[in-house]
Amino acid sequence: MVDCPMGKIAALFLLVMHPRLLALWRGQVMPETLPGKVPRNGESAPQFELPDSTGTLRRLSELVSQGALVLLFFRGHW
Amino acid sequence: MADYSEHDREIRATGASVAAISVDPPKKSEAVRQELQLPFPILCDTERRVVQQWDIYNAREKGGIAKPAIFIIDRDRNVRYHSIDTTSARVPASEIVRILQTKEEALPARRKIYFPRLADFIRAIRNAARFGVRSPRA
Repeated sequence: MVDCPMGKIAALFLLVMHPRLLALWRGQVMPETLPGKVPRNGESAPQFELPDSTGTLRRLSELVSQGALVLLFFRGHW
Repeated sequence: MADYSEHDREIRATGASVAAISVDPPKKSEAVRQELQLPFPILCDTERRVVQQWDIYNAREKGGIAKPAIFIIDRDRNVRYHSIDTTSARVPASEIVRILQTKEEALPARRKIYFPRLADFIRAIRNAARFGVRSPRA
């Protein structure tokens, strides 16, 4: 059925991407396709506002207002 | 975490501060903070919005958790240093203290992207002429 290399590539692409294409068709955004990108060195870190463990809202701009911030992402309690 | 807790004073001495982030709810995080007696806040990204935006989200494990990662963010909110780690190998806090103490120009250069040069193409063509284009069959 598929005998040209471009057709093979297209078929492979469809095979790999079909869950995402289906989701796109239905207008859903899959969790792993949310726009996300590791901020590189020298780039501006995206602003956020999150509650800390005591319930106080903390903004990134507030956390860095006194000086540099060491931000540790961790897996959490298990 | 405990390593950073121990080095908290040294980090503070450089004018910096520490904050941790996980996807745990505040109750759980507060328990961790009490248990380890952490001197810094734990932020709770229960909706996994920040971990996804920063692309350090591990959706495959335990209902979606953050990958271990460290960022040093300057006062102007620029990233000075970052490291995305594995569970077994985290950047030690002493290394972070060293980076905080050094000036920016002293930081190690970024990894170079390998770009093939003319010599590489010539070698490839010569090898193709000598051994053929296909890889040898086992």
